[in-house]
Amino acid sequence: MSCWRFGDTLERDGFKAAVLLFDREDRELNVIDEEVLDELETRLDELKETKADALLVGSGKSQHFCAGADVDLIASIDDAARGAEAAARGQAVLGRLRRLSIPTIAVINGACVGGGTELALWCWGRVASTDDAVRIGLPEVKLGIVPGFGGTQLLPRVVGLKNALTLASTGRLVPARTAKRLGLVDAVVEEAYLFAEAFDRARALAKSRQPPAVRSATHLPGVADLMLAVARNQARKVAGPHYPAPDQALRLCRKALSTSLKKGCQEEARQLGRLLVTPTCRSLLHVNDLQRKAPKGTAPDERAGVAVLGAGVMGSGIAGVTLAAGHPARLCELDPGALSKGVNGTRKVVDRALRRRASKTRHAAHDRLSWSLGPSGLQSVDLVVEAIVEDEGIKKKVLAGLEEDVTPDCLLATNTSSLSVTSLATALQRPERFLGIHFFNPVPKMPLVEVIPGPDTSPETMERGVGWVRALKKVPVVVADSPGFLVNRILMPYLAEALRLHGEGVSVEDVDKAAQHFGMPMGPFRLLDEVGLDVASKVAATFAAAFPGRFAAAPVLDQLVKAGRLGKKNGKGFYDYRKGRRRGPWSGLPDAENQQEREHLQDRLILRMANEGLLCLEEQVAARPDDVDLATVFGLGFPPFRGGLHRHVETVGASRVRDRLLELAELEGPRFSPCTYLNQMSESES
Amino acid sequence: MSPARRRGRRAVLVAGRRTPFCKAGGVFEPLSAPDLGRIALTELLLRSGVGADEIDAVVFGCAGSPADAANPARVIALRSGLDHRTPALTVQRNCASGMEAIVQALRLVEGGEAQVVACGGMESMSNYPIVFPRSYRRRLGKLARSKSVGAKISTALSFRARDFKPEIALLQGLTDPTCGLSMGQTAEVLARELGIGRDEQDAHAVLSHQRAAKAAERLAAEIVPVVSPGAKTTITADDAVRPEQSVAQLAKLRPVFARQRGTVTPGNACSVTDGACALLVADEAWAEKRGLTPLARLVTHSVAGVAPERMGLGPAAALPRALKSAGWTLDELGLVEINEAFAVQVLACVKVLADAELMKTHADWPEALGELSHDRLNVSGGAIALGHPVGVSGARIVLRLAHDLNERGLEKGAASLCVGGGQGQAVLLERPADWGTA
Repeated sequence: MSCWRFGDTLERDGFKAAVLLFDREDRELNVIDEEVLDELETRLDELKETKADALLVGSGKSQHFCAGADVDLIASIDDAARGAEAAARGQAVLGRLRRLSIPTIAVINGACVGGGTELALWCWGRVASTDDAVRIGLPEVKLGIVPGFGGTQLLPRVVGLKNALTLASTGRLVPARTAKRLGLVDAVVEEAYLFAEAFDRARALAKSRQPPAVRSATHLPGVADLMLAVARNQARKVAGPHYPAPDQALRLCRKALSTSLKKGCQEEARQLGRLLVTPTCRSLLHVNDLQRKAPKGTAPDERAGVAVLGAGVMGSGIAGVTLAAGHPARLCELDPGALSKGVNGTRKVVDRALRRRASKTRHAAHDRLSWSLGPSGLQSVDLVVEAIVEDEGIKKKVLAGLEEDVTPDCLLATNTSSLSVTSLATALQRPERFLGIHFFNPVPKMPLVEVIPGPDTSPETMERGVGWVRALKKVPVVVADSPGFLVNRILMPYLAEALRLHGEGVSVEDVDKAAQHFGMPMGPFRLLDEVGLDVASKVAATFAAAFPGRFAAAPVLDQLVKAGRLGKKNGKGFYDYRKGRRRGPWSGLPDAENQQEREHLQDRLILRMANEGLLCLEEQVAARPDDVDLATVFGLGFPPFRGGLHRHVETVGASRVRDRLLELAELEGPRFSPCTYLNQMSESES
Repeated sequence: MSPARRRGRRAVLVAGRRTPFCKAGGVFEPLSAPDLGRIALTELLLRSGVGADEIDAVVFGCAGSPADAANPARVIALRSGLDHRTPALTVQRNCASGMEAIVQALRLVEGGEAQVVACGGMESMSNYPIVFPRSYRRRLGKLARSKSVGAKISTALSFRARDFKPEIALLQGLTDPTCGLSMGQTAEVLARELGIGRDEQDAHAVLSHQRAAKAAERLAAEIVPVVSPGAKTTITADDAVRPEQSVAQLAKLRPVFARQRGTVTPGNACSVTDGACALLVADEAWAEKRGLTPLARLVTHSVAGVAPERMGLGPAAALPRALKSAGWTLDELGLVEINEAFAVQVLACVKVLADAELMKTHADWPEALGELSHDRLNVSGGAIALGHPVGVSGARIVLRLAHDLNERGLEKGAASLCVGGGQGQAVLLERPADWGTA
């Protein structure tokens, strides 16, 4: 198989620059694996015979340079020594790009990520195109590891310690212009001039016979140590205690200044191997894997459009992500005031989503937006999503009316969160093209979308629905039509338990801190404030009705709502807010005299949620354990380093979870009784 | 019979949509002419169900092309998702630019060059530029060429306050550079020479507002809602109409173009508004095959020149020529639209059309055409109520005429405009009784 090929050699005034193009025949993206390294070695051997004066390393793909090391390959290594070995092999082969006696220039025409950036860093120089697709950086820390192909050692040598510390610890991907400012690339030119620029740079470097080095005052030992200390502090604050990789990346960058490249690389490889086998890294790899392997479905036509009925926050969010993803969107709404608010809201979503893109990209997205008072002009759309008021009668009427307005093969979807897809489907003459596509609020930020079949939904409709979710750059999870679907169903016991704790006199802050300490992005009470207490109260009532005896309605919520406390939206919830910033818990809450151990609080919150998640598997609301993991990580912010709810139970041990639940059931009541699925899990475990 | 008809190619108006017309400097201020044009064209395509890929050509009128869109028709075609292979042309015949676009479309269809043409007009009177004087540009150029620091400083110091005095392009555009009169002054010429009094003008203006207000509900069929960036609500209707206005109120306004003894006031002249209108003109056979019922057939057209200082009489010169080419008479017409640049100018046209002597003098036409009564003239109101976004009105009155013919079950109609600089343009529409309702 071919991964690398020589392009036409460039020659001017007797100076010859060989062009080596990374172009995997078997994959859409250039990813680095053993074969790629082996073949690169062979090509570099062949280079000697060509007697070239320079080597330009580019990509054969359009607007894509290299996506880094193959993640499947990384995930397959479960032994620290083997991990270090693999890293060392990469360092050895890519390192030849630096050790060649002729200048090497990386020609970056698109995404250049992780191992791709390291490949470029090994070269003597780098040029990048002005294209929007260019993104350069070392995101390894986001997978719980450090760069392993020499990234931490080369980065300080190329961009200086200060920039290296930021890039390595945040894993940030930067666009071309920022890369130039940071010194990550030497020049940014339009794509058409990339190779011409690279050629001239190679020629200029040919005289010096060695790669250029950076010197900076920050590299003096005292200054460097101080900067490291500041950066580590900062990184700890951002990443929290659960992610060790950023700190390690920082230390390796500092080390690069005081050791040889060779020794530094050895240390880097060792650290990579060590981190690779940590549970954090395994969980993050699991999450990465879930995301990449989520169903693809049938992709819609590139120019296919979406119509959204209802211009509320959800509707304009859905329209906004549609536009940002490159598709036309039509926003339909009956009320002129709401339409105006929705259209302008959609424009804001687009501007925010595309803020780093060229202004022409933003303008084009705005031009793909059209609107209408009431449904009209729907003949050209491929999907209609209704996001109107949650009222079964109204929804049914609107859906039935839609059937007349759209073409026969247009998909009809409901964004309902509380009504049954099955029941809504009865309004339609052709229910086979109807499904639930449930986005979460706020739409632009929440990556997960639930895709729900009705009883008559055709397999083709499901495929296309999933394809649309993908096209909108969201992560689809297929779930059964059951009250609350999957995410809200799992979330409910967590929130209910938090409210119960509050009723028992535990302070909202203690509860929130316990959840956050576990790794949740925010505690249950802050989440309730975000959702809105009025909304939450309604949802609680729905659940109480849907699962009689299992969930009680929440009188606390009603009391707060009656007291005019609606959550963050009016600045008053469980917490007080001023200008959208949280101040402290509301003074009107009852005194909290009940102090509980953090671990006890966490168990009550998390294990009850875990039990519900497994019950969803038992009831086949979700088909596979991976779906529960995907839904909890991307839908309710379950900590990625724990790999998802099901994975968490596995990590802790199913029998331990069951035993603890039995204890809690004894203490607190039958709501903690382990479900059959958990009992089976723990049996098969032993 | 024209050669085109012998070949059986006849142009029909298939569909049309326009934005509301809103007062300049008002709610549409954030939207440029191409922004408005893009909305009208996009909605035309979506609501008619005709695909962007079915359009063979695009022709739009725009009297004041913005500096950042030299050919705005091309800009809105691409921005509305039309293929880059579809050519686009912007036409400028001042006040008749929107009608000129329709005429171009008609010619393309009759000549067999295109089957389906998107045409119309767009104008943002709000966004006419403010221009620096020529002296400013010269000094700026000199500054750029100055090499040494000393030269730069001395050039910089040579700027005078008058160099910075802005000129308003809109006002310049409304003044005829050959006869030196502003459009309002040409209206005063007509009032003086044809003896049309202030009362008569004000009465016509009130009628225009009343008719526009009464028609507002029917206008919903042609208007698409616009959401202006940052606006509190969706704009669904024209905002310059004043249904409550009385002749007594209008009488209080002072003349602006001849302050002492003039008759033309802001109340009996068209207001300045922003807007866009997009129409679909197609080969009749194509529309039939596509299953679309046209609004009207575009029968013929004409354009004629008149004296620049009496530019308001353009329709009196254009109408007889169009009627002759169709073999029609004025009496046969069920409805007539004469764009209301000024009340006096519409009344003057009516007067001239009925008088053989005046026709000879002003329209270079040997005979009178007859009486044109108010009950078939501008029946849904006109530019005095809705405003006159210069490059759009021609398209708007053709669309309105087609709808009015449909609504009243009438067969023949004419639309005409006077043009700054001294021209008149007219288009004749026909709606055979055996067509179904569009």
